[in-house]
Amino acid sequence: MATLALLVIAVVGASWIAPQDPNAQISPALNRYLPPSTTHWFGTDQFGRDVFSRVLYGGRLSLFIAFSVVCGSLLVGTLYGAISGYVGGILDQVLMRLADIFLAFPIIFLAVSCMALFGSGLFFLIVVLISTGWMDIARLVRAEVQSIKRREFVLRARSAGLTTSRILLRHVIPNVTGIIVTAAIIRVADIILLESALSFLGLGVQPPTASWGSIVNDGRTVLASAWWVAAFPGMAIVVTILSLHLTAENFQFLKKSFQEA
Amino acid sequence: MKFCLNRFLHTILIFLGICILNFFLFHLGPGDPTNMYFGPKTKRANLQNMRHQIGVDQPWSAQFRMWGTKALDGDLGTSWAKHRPVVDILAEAIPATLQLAALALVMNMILGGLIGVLSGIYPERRFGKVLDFVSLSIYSIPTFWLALVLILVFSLKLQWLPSSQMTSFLATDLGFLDRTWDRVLHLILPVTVLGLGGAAATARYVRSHMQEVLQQEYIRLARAKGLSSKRIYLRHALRNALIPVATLLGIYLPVLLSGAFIVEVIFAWPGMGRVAYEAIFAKDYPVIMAVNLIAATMVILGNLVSDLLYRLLDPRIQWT
Repeated sequence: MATLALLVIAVVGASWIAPQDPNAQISPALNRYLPPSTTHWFGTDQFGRDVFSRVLYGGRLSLFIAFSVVCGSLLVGTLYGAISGYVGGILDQVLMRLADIFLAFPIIFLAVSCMALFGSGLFFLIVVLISTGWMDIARLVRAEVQSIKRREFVLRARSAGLTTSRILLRHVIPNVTGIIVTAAIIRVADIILLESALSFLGLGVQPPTASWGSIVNDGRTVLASAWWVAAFPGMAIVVTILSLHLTAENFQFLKKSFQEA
Repeated sequence: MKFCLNRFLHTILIFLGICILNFFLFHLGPGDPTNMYFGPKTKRANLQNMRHQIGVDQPWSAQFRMWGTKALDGDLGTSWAKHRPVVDILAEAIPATLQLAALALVMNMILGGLIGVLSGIYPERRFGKVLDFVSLSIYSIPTFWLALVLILVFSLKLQWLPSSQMTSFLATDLGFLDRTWDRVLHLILPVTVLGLGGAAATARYVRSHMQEVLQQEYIRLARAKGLSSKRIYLRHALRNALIPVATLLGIYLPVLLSGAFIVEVIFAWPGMGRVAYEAIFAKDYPVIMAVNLIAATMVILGNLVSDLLYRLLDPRIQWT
């Protein structure tokens, strides 16, 4: 968890820490593919850009994308699952079948097709990633809501005559937050992986903008001679995801000990 | 009986849904396949002709109906980019992907099951914790990066294994044994990449399930009865812990398809993932629809298999 905090700080503070402008090409002919050294901690890439700065800025972009996608998925998924679980009946069946169809689609195909069709603007990327991720949260929320709706405070609210939307918004959904936090943290990790895979294929973030996946893609062709271009962003991804998962596990542990106390 | 009928309806619905969603998605995007023939000297009338020949100038519903009726007859159309029947393209690509996916699945299940069970049984011991951390780390590695790192180490630095394609350049000149060995060498890296990633996920899943099973009362009873640990683990805990692994099979069938996508692109493996990748960029609708049809079938089959296996293996689950 400490690692995650460190990482987030490093990435958010990228503009202050990064020694050089990640997109600046300072005499590329002279500076091409320099190995890691004291001036360039991670070496340089084919345009002479400092890889360390690119990794920092890329991290900023990747994390930003991941957080906005998860927020969007949470919004969509929670509403969808809550309505489906609370109302029940035919609406529930229909909504769940629709979610099943989205869920049944292999994610990569969905993401790749959408990106190939709608172009690669940042907004579209986020929308596409949200559309691949909301189903899990919707299912979780639905299951939780179905058990909540039989609880006393909900029955009391209904007998008091509150409208359904009020019950949902003010009583049901706040009780679901515990479950979805862990799911959300894991989702951030998944989205970082997915976004970097898409950028690697050339369908996510476009050059010259740095994103961990696209830097790895840059380094792919020169793997034999300039391994550092591909290696370091990948390591950054691994460390981030690892710390996210460990944080999620710690959170589970804390939640359990909280509940038992 | 009612269960089977229900499932069948459910399956058909999802299948239709996926096909329609696909079709819809591709027609929403701008442009059509004639774009690649566009140049300064191309006449508009020729492009129109081309469009009419392929049929993209008709309304969507008509196009879907045409495709649907032909597909039911078994004719999946002709690829617009490669000018070959789609069925031929798929017939070449599917066995390649199958080889990769099947081997990776085996590696996945065996390795993942082993590691998961071991780290689940001994969570306090050092090696249990190490195994857990290792599986978490491998789980965190993005597939494409793992592939690149392995290529770097084993192909470029050590020169032990080839880094792309299914066969070496002059392999057809060699004898049968040499050819087979060549094939095996080419298979090792991609299968390892796919299998390791999957094994890490399976190991985590099995581990948590194993820990749940070990908390159960019947295990405590077995210990109270005085059974040796080994007997408890092998006879009672293992069988119960491995039930969800069978259902994981169902989830992995479609996932292997999409996981193989990236691996096939990196290793230039001539399988379905590569075919899909090229088709998407060439806006080759017949191939895309056919590939999606197959993907949908795999997903549905996977769901069906996992549902059936779960009900067969766990006598507590009802058949409704």
